[in-house]
Amino acid sequence: MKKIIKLEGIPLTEGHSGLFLEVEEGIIKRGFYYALVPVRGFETLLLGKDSRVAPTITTRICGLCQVTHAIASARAIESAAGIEVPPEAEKLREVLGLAVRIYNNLLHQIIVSEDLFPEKREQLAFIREVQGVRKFAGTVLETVGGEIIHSPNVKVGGISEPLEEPVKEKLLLEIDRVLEKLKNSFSVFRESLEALWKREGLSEDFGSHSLGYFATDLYYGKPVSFDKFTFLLPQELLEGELKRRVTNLFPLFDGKPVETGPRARAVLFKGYTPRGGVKELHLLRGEENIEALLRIREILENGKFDGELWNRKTPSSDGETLGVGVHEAPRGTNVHAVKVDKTGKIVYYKIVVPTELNFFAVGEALRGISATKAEYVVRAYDPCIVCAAH
Amino acid sequence: MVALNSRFLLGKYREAFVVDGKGENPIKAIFTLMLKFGLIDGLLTVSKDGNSPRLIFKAEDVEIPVRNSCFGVNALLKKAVQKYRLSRLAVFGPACTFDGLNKTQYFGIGCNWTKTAVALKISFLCPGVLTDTAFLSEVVDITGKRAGVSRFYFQKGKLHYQLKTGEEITVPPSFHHRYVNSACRYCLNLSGKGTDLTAVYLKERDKVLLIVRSERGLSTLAQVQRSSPSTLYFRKADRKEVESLISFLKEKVILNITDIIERVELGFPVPKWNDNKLRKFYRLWNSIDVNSEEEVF
Amino acid sequence: MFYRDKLSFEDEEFKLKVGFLHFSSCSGCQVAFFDMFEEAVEILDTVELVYSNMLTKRRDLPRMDVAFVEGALCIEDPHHLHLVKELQKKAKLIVAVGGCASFGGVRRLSCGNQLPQPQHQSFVPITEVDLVKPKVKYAIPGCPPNPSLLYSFLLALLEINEDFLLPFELMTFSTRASGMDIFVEVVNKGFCVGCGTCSTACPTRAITYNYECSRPAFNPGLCVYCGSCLAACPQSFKPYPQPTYT
Ligand code: SF4
Ligand code: SF4
Ligand code: SF4
Ligand code: SF4
Repeated sequence: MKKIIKLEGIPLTEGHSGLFLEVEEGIIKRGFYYALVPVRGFETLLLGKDSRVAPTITTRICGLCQVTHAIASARAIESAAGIEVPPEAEKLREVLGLAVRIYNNLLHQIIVSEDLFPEKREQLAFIREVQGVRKFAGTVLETVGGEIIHSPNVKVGGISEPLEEPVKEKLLLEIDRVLEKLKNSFSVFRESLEALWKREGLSEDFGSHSLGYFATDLYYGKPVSFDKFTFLLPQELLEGELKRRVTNLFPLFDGKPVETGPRARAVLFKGYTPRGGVKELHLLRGEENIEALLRIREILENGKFDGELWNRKTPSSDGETLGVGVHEAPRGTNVHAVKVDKTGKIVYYKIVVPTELNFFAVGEALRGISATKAEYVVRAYDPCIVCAAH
Repeated sequence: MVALNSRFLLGKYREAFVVDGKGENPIKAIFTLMLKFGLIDGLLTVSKDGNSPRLIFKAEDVEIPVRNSCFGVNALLKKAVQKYRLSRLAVFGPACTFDGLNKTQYFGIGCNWTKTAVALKISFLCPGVLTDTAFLSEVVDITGKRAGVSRFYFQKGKLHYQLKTGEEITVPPSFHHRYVNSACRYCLNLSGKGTDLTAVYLKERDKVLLIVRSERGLSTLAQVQRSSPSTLYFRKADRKEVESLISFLKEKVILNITDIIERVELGFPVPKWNDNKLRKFYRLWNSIDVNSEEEVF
Repeated sequence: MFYRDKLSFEDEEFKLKVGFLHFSSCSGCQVAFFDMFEEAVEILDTVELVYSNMLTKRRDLPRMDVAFVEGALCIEDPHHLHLVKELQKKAKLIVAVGGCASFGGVRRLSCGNQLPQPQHQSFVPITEVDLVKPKVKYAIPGCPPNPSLLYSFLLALLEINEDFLLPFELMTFSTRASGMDIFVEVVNKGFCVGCGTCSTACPTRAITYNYECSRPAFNPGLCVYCGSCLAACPQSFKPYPQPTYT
């Protein structure tokens, strides 16, 4: 018996999203995952605005991984207008990006902890532990970026505030303690994840797919050719009222659907052999937290950031050159593309966010699993719906 | 009834001392010692001329304003708290600085966890503040000559300036009232209620009248005294000294209240979320039947 | 109208039922609640969280005492129209959290015409929607409001500290906010003391400080209409009596 199931609102995820499932004998044959929050129009609202405000506006695409948009946006404009960025500023941006990676990934752990811990008391204890680490990530964001959420210090041309040595030392001093906490909470997380898999009778390869992977860098982000992206419209892909309701595009890379995120980074840059399934997504994300923290330490220990970190040149370009800014966000590769005219105004803006790229991957991962378990797959991808429908 | 008494003009306080810094500005000495002994981890104030805010971390860098020009102190508040993560901050400025600071602490609007970040608040008795341009016009008006102002002080209930030429002049309140920053003409908290200590600059550069308002203020002084017993000398202020102060405040506040009443009667606009405080004051001022225990401003 | 009536006051077991929902937002305001870090855990323990897309498993909106709402309503989105009706039915009291919900925020800039739903063009803060307006008792400025503000607000709400809450009530009556307020409401009216609190409060640094004339300087291009600047200005409203902290 073939059945269509439409779910609206996936609990324990960010935003308002939905699932379209074609089910036979309880098993999903085809699935689509999509965003249902309104399109806010960040690509159109920026047109005609001074490009220097773009990082401040685009960071407000998302409140979970805020700084990634500010960074991608600043880098895109810098590349369009040929602005050189002081190398230390790039390093500090990398630190911000990694801090937000920890901050966000741990928020995801808090969100899924509702699934993981049947005991309320254990859950609260876990949250408390994780919050201790998030607090440190928040401190880094606040000190370097200016605010925890929506960093105003990320500017076109660099970072507006130097990081003086004593302030840096203060941060470094805390890292060891935080690392310990992070490792502890990760092992608790790992155990309870295993327990969940057992409780729910999920197989090791639960939620696997055969798509390729896409990422540009392990920590920061490397340029990518924007022509390689093409987009399918929900109107082309979905049926009925969903055509008028689904608010994300479905991007393809090199004409193919891909997965981006922690696993993609691990496969492409760490020589990791994927086992398939969504459990390893949780685990790889957890490992990325630890690596990110170590990398933050490495950058801070080896660099000096107390000079001028901001090239204040006014951006200006020919209105034709496409500047592409890439940042490896917590959920995968975040790409902004922009054209700037002679007066520095934005004449073209396009954003491809990781969750958008992953919509196909989620759909593929749903194939072959029991319809009642679909939500576990969705959650494992830590979708950020507001980003997807920017 | 609201009366121009000590309670309204000067606010509640515990003690008033005359502090002698033996050659140094006692307030500067207090901050220097506190930084040196780690009683505070930063000082937020403005430069000596009052023109730009300063965030000071080291004892040897301490400077404090000595002119009645003091602007933008809170502009560095976010940096102090969110970037440098200071947790025992001292702040020095006029009362309105602390209105902003207290408000940020109480509500938390705009600046994260300021509530627990401030260790000491010292205000200076404020006759109304001026920018460089305003000082220039005022001094020319009073003396007929162009000269910069280097410091201000109170003596026998009058406001005085020492000019950059070394000359000392008395500033008539009616002149002063026309040159101060606009908002200072509606200010009813010249004495810095809501702080731990209020400093009143006196004729001698190394003396201030210190009004101690809070327990924290008192214990801070005790701590400073203990850590370096021979830097500051305290003597209880006598009645006459405090009264001359009150007579200055009275003169200035009457001018301010006249302006407030005029504003309200003309129906000039007030900020939209203000809950019309000026009108409330107006009503209070004109009524005879008010609970005098209530703290109004 | 308040979230607890006389009877339940005496009820020792009373646990405030709170929900958190979003219209068109960036979720930053909800995340700001988590950024109280350890304190967030204590709060989760003292109130009953009945709805949040991130923290509870419910799909439908339950009845709740206080609904914290972030984001602006998109009038072309049928789901939002449904949600606002539900909100009106289910919530006893609504708190608009952040610039988007209170004053439109960065949503004021939206003009739509973006794929795949170009018709999503118009956004209004919930303080402008008459259906729920009577229940929107408080508006919290900020983009996002910082965690310590949210913490103090929650405590004040639990203790019914009217002194604290009053300004936030006043703010629901003005559906517009911008850095221009600092000039229109304070500087132009002769109330600016030059303290610099507004520039410290601005999350985008759209307000800086002009040291030459000791006044704030406003750069409109960076403003996201969050209302923090005027709310932080000591001349807009003040806490009385003056609090001191020891
Ligand atoms: S007179 Fe009042 S408003 Fe003016 S600077 Fe002094 S304390 Fe501030
Ligand atoms: S007010 Fe700011 S943080 Fe809150 S939802 Fe709107 S954009 Fe996000
Ligand atoms: S100027 Fe700054 S604080 Fe004021 S509304 Fe605009 S963004 Fe908010
Ligand atoms: S916060 Fe201070 S500087 Fe800003 S407008 Fe208000 S009084 Fe003026």
